[in-house]
Amino acid sequence: MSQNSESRDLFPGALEMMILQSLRLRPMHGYALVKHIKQVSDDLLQVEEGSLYPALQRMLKAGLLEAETGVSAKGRPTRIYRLTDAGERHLEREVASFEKMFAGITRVLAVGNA
Amino acid sequence: MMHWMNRLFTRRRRYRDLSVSIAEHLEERIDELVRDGLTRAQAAQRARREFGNLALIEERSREVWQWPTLESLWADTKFALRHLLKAPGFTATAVLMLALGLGASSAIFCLIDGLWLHPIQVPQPDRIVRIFGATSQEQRGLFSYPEYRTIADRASAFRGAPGGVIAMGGRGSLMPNPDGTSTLLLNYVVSDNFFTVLGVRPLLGRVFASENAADLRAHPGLVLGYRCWQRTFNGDPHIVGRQIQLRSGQRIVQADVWGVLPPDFRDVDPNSDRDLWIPTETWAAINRGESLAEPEFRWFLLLGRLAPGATVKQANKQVAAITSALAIADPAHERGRTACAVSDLSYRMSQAGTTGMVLFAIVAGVVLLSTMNVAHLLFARAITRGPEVALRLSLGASRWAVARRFLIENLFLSALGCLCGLSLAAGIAAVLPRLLAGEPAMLVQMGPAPHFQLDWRVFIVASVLALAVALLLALVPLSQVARVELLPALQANASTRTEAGAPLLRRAAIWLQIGIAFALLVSTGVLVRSFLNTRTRPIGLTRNQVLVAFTQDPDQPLRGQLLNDLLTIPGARRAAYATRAPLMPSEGGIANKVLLPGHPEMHDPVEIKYNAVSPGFLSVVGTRIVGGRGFTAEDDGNGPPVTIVNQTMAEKYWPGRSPLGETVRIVGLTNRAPVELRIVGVAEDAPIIDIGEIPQPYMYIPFHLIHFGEVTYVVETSRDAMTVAREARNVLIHVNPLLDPMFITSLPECIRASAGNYQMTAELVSALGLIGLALTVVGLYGFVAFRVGQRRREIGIRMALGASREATARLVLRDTARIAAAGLAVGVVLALAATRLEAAALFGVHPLDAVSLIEALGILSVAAAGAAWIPARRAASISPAQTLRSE
Repeated sequence: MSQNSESRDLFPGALEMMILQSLRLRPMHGYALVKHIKQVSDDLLQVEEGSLYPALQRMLKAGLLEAETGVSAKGRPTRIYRLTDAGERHLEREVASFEKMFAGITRVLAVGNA
Repeated sequence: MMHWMNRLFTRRRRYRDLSVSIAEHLEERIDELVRDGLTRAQAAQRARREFGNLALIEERSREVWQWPTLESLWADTKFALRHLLKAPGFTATAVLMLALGLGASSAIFCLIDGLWLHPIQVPQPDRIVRIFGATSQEQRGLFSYPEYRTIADRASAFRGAPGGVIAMGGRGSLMPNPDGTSTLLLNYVVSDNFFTVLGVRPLLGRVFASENAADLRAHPGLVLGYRCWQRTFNGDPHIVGRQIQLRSGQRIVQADVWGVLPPDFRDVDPNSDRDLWIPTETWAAINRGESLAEPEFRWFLLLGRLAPGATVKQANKQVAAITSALAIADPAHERGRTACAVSDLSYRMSQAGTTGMVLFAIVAGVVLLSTMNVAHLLFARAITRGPEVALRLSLGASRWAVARRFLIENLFLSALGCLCGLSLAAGIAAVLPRLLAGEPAMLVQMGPAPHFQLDWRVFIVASVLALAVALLLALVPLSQVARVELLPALQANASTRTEAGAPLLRRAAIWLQIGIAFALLVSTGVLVRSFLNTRTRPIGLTRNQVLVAFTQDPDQPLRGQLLNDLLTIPGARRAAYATRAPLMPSEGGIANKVLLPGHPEMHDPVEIKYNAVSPGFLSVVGTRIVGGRGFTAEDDGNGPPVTIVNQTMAEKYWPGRSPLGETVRIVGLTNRAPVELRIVGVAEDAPIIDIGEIPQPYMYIPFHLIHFGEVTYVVETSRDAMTVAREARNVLIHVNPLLDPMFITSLPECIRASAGNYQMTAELVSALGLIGLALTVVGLYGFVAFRVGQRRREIGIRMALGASREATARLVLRDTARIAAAGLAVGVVLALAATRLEAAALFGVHPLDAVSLIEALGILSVAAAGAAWIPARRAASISPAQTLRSE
């Protein structure tokens, strides 16, 4: 993520989680993934390519994704990433754990604001 | 595992996928920007900038699929190999020099190991200890059998399996041949527990042990050495259980062959071998005359295996205490004797002694020289690679990554050098036996030919050395990497970088090289002259051809007849006989207890070595009489007992006056009353066991006074003694087949063999000295050429300003002379230290030998001038216009 006073870095695992969730919707290629996240988050989140591709490769290596040949929006050949079963299970676990953490943070913050 | 292997194969595909993804990503972004209104070029630029460092991101993504450390190591290795192959001249030179250093050191280690250091081939040789008797006159003495039994029974450091004390005494036996002659077999008479304590297992049959004592008393038995089994018994597979015959005086004794020893156990000393291993019980049966109960008959070497938990120090204290107690209990025989125990390793190292140390030091010098030469080469190369290093560092490589590449290059060079070096060493080891003087030539060769081979210990030494060299050499490029300043290095043009002088470290290295070369040359000088001295200096023996034959001694009338018969051999001039001849290879000389009545203060008898000789003996072997007279026929017949002492004895006991007329009383005779002898002559000192030994008191007595059963005939011949050997043997056999000599050799051969160490050292050091000189010349040449290269600009300017060619050449030569002078200063210090070290290995040469120093100085000066010649000429032919233009 970009480094200025208005934005902050994602916590570890957040990028992976969002990629998995996005790909769960439908298989996408790299550029489409970037645009999807930007769009769906209403420009609140912007993924940097420097983080995206290494993350994609890591998840490929871990078997959470698989890559297949497909066609890009321009009709040119590219690689499309799709979620595997293992990736789906991993996503569910991560989401559950994230929601627990988020709920806890919310409660702590709520006490102060009451 | 399969998953891992699968990944390897699909990795290419992964990389391709990644590239395609990224490329397509960029394309889409560019199209989008174009749609937004930018030109293609602008869109492309912006898209790339937004993406980030394309190469780095792709690299990082790829790294997910790699084992980074291993990958880069492999890449470095390939790169290093390619780099070395691209510069074949450099690589070949470096490898050659490393090979010389490593090969020479491996070969010398092989030699030292084969001659002295190789451990006994038994299990756990580090627990073996050597036990020696000591008196005021002798430090490494042998024991009698009763003394052995006392020590074995009382020393607790050896009690408890597998510990124990064993005894071994060297003897010879005669095996009768069908034609009446005999074959001499060398044997060890050993205690029953010998093989069990050492842990030697037989190749065939079995070995005897303590339990078999009763059995051996009833039926004599023995064990054969491997070589004897092969040579004398033709490797007969059914030898076990057979009987062999051995002479015992006039009788024949039958002994059972219990077993055969394996080929790797021949003796407790390296490069030595024995034919028969005879238990004491069997020896008692064979040699009735030599009683094992004799307390003064000291012919056993003692070894011990420490019991578990015992230490050498304990053993040492115990044997000393036991012998002290013995000295009190039995003063007649044991007074003044003590004992010590040392580990086998320290004994072997002391055997290597000065010679081993000298060889080791010289080889270390050669290794240093070759390493420094390669360091110079690397240094010169490193300078030219400065820009490359700087570039890599600026691209983001860590200093460690860059350094690693250099390290791998060095390891490669070292490994190659090690391989070539070991091949070289193997070749040298094969020819080494020819270099060694070895045993004196004999009619029938005794003992094995020395044999050197590279075993795993040599490999380990070579590898460790190569690794050390590699790491040392790595300091050169590593210091380069550490020091490189990026910007100046990138901008610099190699030729504009001149250093004020070469860095101090490099100059110091050259000085050290020259110094080592000088010390090597001086050492070569003194050691070669020592060896030559053994051939030319008077040693108290004649250099004429004298045949030496060692045989049985029946009785008086035969001896006289034999002398006459020997003189009938064509070419024989004079003949005589004695108990032993000087430098005889079989034993160390006999000694006896002697009292000097003219010295009332001498309470205890001293042991003095002596020889019982016929009247003509001293003149045949060439030992001059320097005072009084020699022996006459009357002395050896009915005259009063007389003796001739040597100069050392005369000076020791009658300093400053003549000993003629004094008496000497021999008191240690077995079964005889003491004999009083009057001194009638003084003979010059002559070597007893070895050339170059420290002279000790020695006496000559008429032959008839002592009777041993063996005699040595000496015959002066006009032609080569060894050609006469066969005829001499025939003469002896003709009189009586029992007189077949146990060995026949010649005095020149014994002298040559005794000087063997000097010869070997001289040859090896000469070879190494030459190598060292060559390495130094190459190193100096490289250094001077490098300096000229660095100073091209300066020289160009000088010449443009009017300096002549000769002046330029002189400049270079003067520079070289300064370097050489500094090196020589270092060299003189090193040479003085070296010759002090070598002092014990010198013969007739003073350590501060002026001749050698001057010779070395001359040779080195010429060599230095030669090394500087080509660079000087090149400097003189520098065209100033060309040099300045190339800026």
